[in-house]
Amino acid sequence: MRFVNLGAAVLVSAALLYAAFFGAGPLPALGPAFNPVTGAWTMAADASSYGGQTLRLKGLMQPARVVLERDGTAHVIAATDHDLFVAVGYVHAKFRLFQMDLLRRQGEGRLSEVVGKAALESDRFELQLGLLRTAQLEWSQLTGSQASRDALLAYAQGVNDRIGEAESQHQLPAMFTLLGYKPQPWTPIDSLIVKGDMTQTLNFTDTPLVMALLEKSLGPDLTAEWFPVLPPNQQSPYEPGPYAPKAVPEQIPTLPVAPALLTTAETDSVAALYERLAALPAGLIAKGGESNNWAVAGSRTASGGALMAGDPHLHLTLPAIWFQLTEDSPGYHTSGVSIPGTPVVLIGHNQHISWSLTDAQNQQTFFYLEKEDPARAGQYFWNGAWQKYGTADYDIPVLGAATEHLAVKYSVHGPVISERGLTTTVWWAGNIPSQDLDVLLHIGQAANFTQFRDALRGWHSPTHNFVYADDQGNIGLISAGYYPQVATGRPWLPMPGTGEYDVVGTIPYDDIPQVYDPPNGVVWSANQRPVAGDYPYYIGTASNFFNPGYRANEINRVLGQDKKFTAADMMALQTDTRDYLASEIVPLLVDALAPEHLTGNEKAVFDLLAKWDDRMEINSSAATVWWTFWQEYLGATFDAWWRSHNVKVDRAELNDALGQDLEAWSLRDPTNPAFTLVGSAENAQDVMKAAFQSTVTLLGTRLGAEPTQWTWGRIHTRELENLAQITGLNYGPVPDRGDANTPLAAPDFPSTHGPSWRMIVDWGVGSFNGIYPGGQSENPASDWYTNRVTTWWDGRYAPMLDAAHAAAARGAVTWRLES
Amino acid sequence: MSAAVRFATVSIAGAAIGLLGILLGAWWLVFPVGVAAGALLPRARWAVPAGALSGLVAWTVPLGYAQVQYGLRATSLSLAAIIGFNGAATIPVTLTLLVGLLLGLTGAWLGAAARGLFPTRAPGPVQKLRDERLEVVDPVLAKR
Repeated sequence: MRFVNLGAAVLVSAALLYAAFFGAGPLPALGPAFNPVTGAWTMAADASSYGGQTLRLKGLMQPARVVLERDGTAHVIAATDHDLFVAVGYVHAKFRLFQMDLLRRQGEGRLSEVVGKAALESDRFELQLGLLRTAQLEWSQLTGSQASRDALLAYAQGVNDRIGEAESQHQLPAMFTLLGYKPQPWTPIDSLIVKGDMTQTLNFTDTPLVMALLEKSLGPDLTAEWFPVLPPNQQSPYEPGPYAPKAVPEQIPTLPVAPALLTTAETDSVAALYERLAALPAGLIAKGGESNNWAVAGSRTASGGALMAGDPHLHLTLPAIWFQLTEDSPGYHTSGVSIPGTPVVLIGHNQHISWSLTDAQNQQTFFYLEKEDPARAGQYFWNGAWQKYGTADYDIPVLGAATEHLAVKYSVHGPVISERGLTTTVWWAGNIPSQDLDVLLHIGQAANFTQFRDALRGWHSPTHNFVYADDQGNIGLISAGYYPQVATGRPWLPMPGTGEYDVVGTIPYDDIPQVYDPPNGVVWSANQRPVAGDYPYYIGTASNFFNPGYRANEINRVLGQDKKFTAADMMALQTDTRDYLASEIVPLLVDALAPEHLTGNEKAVFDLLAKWDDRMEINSSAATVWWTFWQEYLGATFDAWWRSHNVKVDRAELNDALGQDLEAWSLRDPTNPAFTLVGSAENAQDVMKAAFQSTVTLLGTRLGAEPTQWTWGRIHTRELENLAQITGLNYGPVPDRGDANTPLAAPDFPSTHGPSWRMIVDWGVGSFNGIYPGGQSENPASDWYTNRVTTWWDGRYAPMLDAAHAAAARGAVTWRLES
Repeated sequence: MSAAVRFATVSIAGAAIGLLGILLGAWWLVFPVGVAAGALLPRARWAVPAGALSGLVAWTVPLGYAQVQYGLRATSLSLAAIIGFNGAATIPVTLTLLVGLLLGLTGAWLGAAARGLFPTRAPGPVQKLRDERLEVVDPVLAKR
């Protein structure tokens, strides 16, 4: 009996100790995780550690200060530029260390090491795509004379100062404790990786694969008609021309060394790769941007100074992608938002100029199908000769499993990312070194448009629309970055890799889309095609690469009004919920419906639409009807074609492109043959009526019999998602206004993308305002985790103070940093 | 020393040692403390509660201090969300205290079970007492 007792005690003890040391199932290692002194409970101490204090940073050369406003906005004041970046690194790590570690792990393909097999496919893909190699190359190419080299080194020192301090004080963010690992020292390459993450999110696309699958199923004629290079609808390019004649493409310095229809084998390869990319976690493939920026010249404003507005739309996360700060040193006086992991202000202002950016959306991703011969293993045919693939080997540590070895192959076009069927390589501009941080440091020091434009000459990827305004009333917009040009062929499809279709260069910098002080006194971008149809270069197709243009059209409409604009007007436009597409289509629908033939709820719904102001407000039932109708209209028009042609691509994924067609046909070509597959329909009006009837039936079933109760807020919500995908730490979902077409962008259900930062500048009165949804701290126990959300949600702003005013503001605290 | 005093002494000493371990990052120390309690106290019915109590106290004191110092509600809610019990702020607290308690308890159980294999010196045969009353000569009876 005694042995039985002892055996039971040993077994239970062993099980408990195992769970305590190593965790069990979903539970973390219980001992270190719940240790009240050094475990996850320390987030309480961290949340209370933001008060005034004196801190020691080894990397500092002279004392520095950090002023924290009551809402957490940080003002870093240093006596040298080096110390500025040390302090910024420290501050970033103090508030966002786990986020920074996640971002670098994502780009470096090291997520599996801490979360296990679930992240393995993401890691494989990232290592194949090559963010790590590009970051290493960028670092190796930075010379001592480039400001970003010193900034990156100093920044890394500051981050590591914080890591050392947090470890010694048992204050590492709780997620490290719960996942059971400690952060490695930060390096400059990690910062370049974080920059690469953003490039990938914004510019790496699978559109050529989609186009290839469409061409195979719908046929070349229908594909060309429905997914054209130039948009079929009316858009508002910010640079309408005239343009200089086409010039010889500028050489892209660091490039590595009319096709027939795809064969079945080629299509199978494309389909396999498309499926692989589609299965990757959200955010690794760019799926179209939703950002706005614009500026109004001083001649058209009430204050007499230039106005500027910017709201980049990104995945809305907690913590946010942004960290608000002011950088003050002898060389820099910038204020705005930075990305934790990088030392610079990405969007903001200095003493003379302000800037913001949106994604330009031109094509920067090209796929090549390599020609191989089974008798020549490890080789591909290019420029008339057989070439050997280059290789790079990686080990991917996997939590709870054996380390995986990955061998990545390269052709001259780039990395091999699929070998199912034919070998497919990808040429991606994000793989070409682009010293974006250096550019941003120069922008931060620019005092006029010439310096701003000169700085952007070095910006290659991702291509962004940089809006500009200055203290002299001037405005401008430059879509800076590479615009790859191929020698021949159709670059929107995968192309043969034999050499004839290679990228040969980029549009010369002087010819890329740009304007300065245009006669109408306004510039604007909202991911629309920036140039008109007669622009002499290929920059991408209407499908997916560029936004359909409804936000840009609405912004253009508002800014086209004959009035003197104010900052309040800019704020109103950033939260504008008018759906430009609805303003075009709803009148057609109302005309198509004969009220006398409508019955029951159809008449009530008709009345709602007829009186609607096209605004997607929470309490609007007409907004719900419009949105549902548009989806039904799209489905009624195209689903039959999808079925009859066995199209493999999800139709909903192409709604932006198909919507442009449907809009154009409804307005100008109502008898387009596309409508004829819908039952007995013969034209757009017939399909509209059918879609309206199904809308009324659908909403009645889903939301009840009373149409006035079908409010938009009942079906449309917004949610801020926790970055670590812990749903309990999300904010929302909460009913919210807007849709994919409104300047206040809120696509999807629930909407998890949208204005990630709103900034308004009025140079006439020297006012700067900004807000982002979230808070400065990643610690969910901190008041600064979500303290800005309500202000943002309500469409309000917070003043962006300079350091002196911030220090004097109520509730501000100061950290004294000493070496 | 009475059993109750020995129980209290071992419990208090165990809690103090366990607490010191936690403060130094050695959260696991309450387990060997429990083992020691099991080995020191002669009966399991005293040893196991002593181990459990020392573990519980060692883990409760710093948590209580943190509650007084910072307030733990927001942290507890956050931890609950992270481990999948959204809104249940008491669960992380309960889980934390349970870890301390179980480490001490199982340690003591193990110690007591091991001690059971090595009993103290066994008692010898009971010495038979002479019943002297049988030898008493009753003077009354004797006269008869």
